[in-house]
This record gives sequence, structure tokens and C-alpha cells, in this order.
Amino acid sequence: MVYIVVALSCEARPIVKHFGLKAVPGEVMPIYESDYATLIVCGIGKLNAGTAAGWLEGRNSSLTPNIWMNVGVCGHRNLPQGTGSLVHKVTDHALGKTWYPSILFETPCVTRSVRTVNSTEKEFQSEDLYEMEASGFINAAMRFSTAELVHCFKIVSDNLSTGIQHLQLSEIEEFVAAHLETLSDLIEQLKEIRNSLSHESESSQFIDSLLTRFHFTTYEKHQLVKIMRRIETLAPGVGPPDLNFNTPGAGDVLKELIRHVDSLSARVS
Amino acid sequence: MVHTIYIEEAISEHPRVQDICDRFPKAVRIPCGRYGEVFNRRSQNFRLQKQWPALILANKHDHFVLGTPEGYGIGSSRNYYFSHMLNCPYDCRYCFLQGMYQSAHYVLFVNYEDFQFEVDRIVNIENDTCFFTGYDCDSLAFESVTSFTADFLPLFQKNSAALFELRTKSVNLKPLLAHPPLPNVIVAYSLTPARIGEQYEDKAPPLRRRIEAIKQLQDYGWPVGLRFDPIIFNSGYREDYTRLYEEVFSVVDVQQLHSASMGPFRLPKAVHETVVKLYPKEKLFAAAAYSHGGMISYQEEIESDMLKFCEAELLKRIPADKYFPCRYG
Repeated sequence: MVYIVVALSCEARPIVKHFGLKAVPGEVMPIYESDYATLIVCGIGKLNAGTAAGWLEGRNSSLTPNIWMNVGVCGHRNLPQGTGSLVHKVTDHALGKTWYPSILFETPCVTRSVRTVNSTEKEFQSEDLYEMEASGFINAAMRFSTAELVHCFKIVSDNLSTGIQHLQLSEIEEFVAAHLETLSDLIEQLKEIRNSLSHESESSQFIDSLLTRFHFTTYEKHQLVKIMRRIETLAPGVGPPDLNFNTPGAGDVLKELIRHVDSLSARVS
Repeated sequence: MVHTIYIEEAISEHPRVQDICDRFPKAVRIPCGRYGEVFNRRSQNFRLQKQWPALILANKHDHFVLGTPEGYGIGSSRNYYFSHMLNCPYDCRYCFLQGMYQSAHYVLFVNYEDFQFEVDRIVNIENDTCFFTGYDCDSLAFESVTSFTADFLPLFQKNSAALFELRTKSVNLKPLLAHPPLPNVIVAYSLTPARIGEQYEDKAPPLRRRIEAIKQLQDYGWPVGLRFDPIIFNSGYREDYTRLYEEVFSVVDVQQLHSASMGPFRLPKAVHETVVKLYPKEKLFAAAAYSHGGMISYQEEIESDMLKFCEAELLKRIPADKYFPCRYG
């Protein structure tokens, strides 16, 4: 699954439309989803962003690592409005923490550093992008997924010469809308990376049948899964072993399987 | 190709940093506090990063030179190792680094002078020392970026009583062919049968090219070591290792050979658990999953038979005083 966290409804609207997401009624925060992605509108600030990420993970937890994107507007000293950047460093001076999203692909845009601040920035003393959600988002999302799949995409909405006071919500919507192709491209690249981690087990049904037939302790259950993974690796595509389990207990089943895997190990090619 | 370079802020002006950055003008440069902020962070996937590694330029602050694990040596009474770099460009499935580090990014410690100072200090107070490199990286593979070998050869030219081993699979011989051979510097090649190499040593030069490199080095006068470590089991290992020895010793001059060593494929338990998570469908780890001698390796009987065979075949070709088995447990 692809999870997208945005702070504002005006940031969400073009993304929702682009990916054909549908509103989910009755959620604690506005959520839009499809088979492709789930988007949550968290509100302004790092606490909200972290909470929203946690909420999504708890709502849809899965064993395969998910893709996480924080999309939103930011300020910068002098970059033109509408400039989009993938983030390669997130610093939060208030928390004294820094994160480095791991970018493992040819980026369709420039990458930059982000500084997460507690209130709207007006002075822009560094060359960083300034915004209010990335640190909360990344701190939470990296707990739920692998760092390579957690990213932030920020679009400049204001700078020293434009200021923020006259910024219209409709302008923000336009800034985001102008980067939807880049966003799709990023997500596709991340999906490719994520898919390389998929390892489906051929033995799930066989394991389930043994778990139904015999009483395995938790430790024995772990042993069973490990042994079956070795068996399917050493004899791929062969299917579960044709062993006769006329045995009284799970321990004997494990012994039989260990004998089988020992014999496969000794014949590995 | 390096796409991203993380640079510790404190060393951004170091000449070696500037020189390396100049070699990669298109790489994105990201300042960081300490390299561990990037390298040691949890929730990273070594397997994914290996496909697109970044370079981290760092300063090492202490523990420049360490003692080797027991049973590791090529004849000296005091054995040390040091690592100017962590990780390497090759992707060998049996490598313990993939289970030891959180990240596959290359860390290069640019303060070579501190390592050299410590080597000097040890050599001045101890006799019969050997210094190994290429334990946490490949000594030569990244030479075009690091100039490590070119920088360290003069140190061991000066300290001629100490042995220095460069462990490698690289065929980049430029720094060695640009320097007069040193009798105390051993270029040690890791060798596995060609079939195993194709299966498990992604991005590393094939066996044929490594043997050619060994020949070139011997012809030039460099002492060469042969490292048959790890020995990998499969049902055809006898044919594989016999063929390997035939290929190697049809070219290598045994008279000139410094040493040969051998050790079975083995991983510490925690490292094995990590690599199985990274590569759950890897035959190598599914076959070598037996705990003995404090390590995870093949079934004891298989390991023992395999080592006996490989050792006996090797000793048919080299004198026993040049053989140093790698013991563990």
C-alpha cells in the first residue's frame, strides 16, 4: 500500500483527484483511499503528522513494508514559488534530531534539505526548505517501514519576496497539481523497490494444516516456519514434503522435518 | 558510480574530501554530523541499499588498529587489522558485512594519517607483527576513489619488519604496478570456484581475471597470497575445488607464493539471522544453518569432510609451511 500524508485539504484535493481516491466516512481524520493509495489529511504540525502516520499504520497494518510519502508546501529563502523537491535530509532543531531518507533511484527532481519548525518561518536563515510536518511524519513512518520507502516531497509556496500573508489556498492547490506527474513517478519507483522485497511462502497451506492437526507451542511454531522456509528454498517448486506424520505430537513432526531438511542440505547443488 | 555523498561537517575542508568530491561532480552532497547518523540508523535495508549505495566521508576518532580474532594469521605472532573503509562495491552473498551493518553505503574514513600513526606506534614497540586490511571492505576495489594502497605502501616500505596484507578480489593493479614491489606487502586474493563465483559474487571480477592479475603481480615481483575462504559446499564441491586448484596452480608460481589459507563458510549467529531475513530464499543460508563452534555453518560432518578434502588437495600443490588454516570455535 502507498500512504500519503498531507497537512491541508487544499494539498489533498489534486492528489485525491489524480489517483481517483474516494472519501472514507467516519474516520478521525479525513481519509481518502483506493486500491492504489490511502491519503490522510492530518492538519498542520509535526505532532499531527506523526499521529496521522500512526493512525494509518494501525488501521491497515501489513507484513510487507508500505510506501510512505509526506507531500506539502514549504517556504524557502529565494526559490521560486512552485519549485518541487524530494527531501534528502530532515532536521528538527527543537527535537535535536536529523533523518536522512535513503534515495535509491534516479530522482525526477532536485533533492534538498528540509528544516521542520514549530511555527511559520519568515526569516529563512539557511538554504533549507522550511515546513512544519516532515520530522513528525518521518519519525513515525520509519518505525513502520524500511527507511528506503519513506519520503517527503515539498513544494515552495512562499519565499522572502512573496511572503506568506497573501498566499491563497487555491494557489497551494495549483502548486501541488503541477507536480502530480513527478509524484506518480516517485511512487512507481518506490513500488518497484518495495516489490523486490516480496517473499511469498509456498508452504502456508501446509503449515496451516499441520497447525490444525497438531498442538505446537509458540517456540515450535517458529521452528516449523523456519524449517519449512529452508525446505522450500532448498527444493523450490517441489511442494511440501511427502512425509507420513503418524506421530503423536508436534515435536515428532519437527524431528521428521529436520531429518528431511538435513538431507536436502547435504544434497544442495 | 556514486550518486550521493554524505560528508561529516567537521571534515568538509579536508583535502581528501575535496579531492573525492571533485571526482563526482554530479553527486548530491549532503552534510551530516557524524557518519553514524546515516550509517547506523535502524530500519534500513542493506539489500535495497546495495543496489544504489551512497558514499559517506567520515573521520575515525579512535580504535584505529585492532587485534584480529584468534586463529587468524599468516605466521606472525602479533596480528592486527584496520579498516579505512566499511563495505565494498562487490555483492558477495556469503559476506558477513551484509548481516553486520545496518547500511550498505560505503563509509570512507579519510584521516589515513591517524591509522598510519597507530601502525607506526605498534611497529615501534612490537616485533613480528602483521597488519591485515580488507576485513570490512576490499583493500583495492575502491582504489580509484580512495588511493588507499598508494597512500599506505610508503608506510610499510619504511616499516619493512611488519607484514601488511591487502585482501582483495579486485584486478585494479595500478597502484601496485606503479610502485616497486615490497617483500613485506602481500596481495592476498580471495578465490572461489568459477561456478560459485558466478552464483554468489555479484559485481566481482571473475576467477579467470583474478588469476591473470595474480600472474601479473608475481611477474612484477609482489608477494601473493591465496585465500580459499570461504569454502562453499555443494554436492559437486570435489570437482569444483579440484578444478579451481588446477586453474590457479597452472599459473601461480608456488616458489614465489607467500601463503595460502582456507576456512569454511561460517557466520556468527546474529549475522546469520539478519542475512536470512534479507535473503529468505537463498540456498546458501538454508544449507548452512547449523550451530557449532560458536558459529552457524554446514552440518559438522559435511564441513569436516569438505575441509579435509580441500586441504588435502591444496597440500598436494603447496608446501605445508605456506599453508595457514583459518580456525574458529
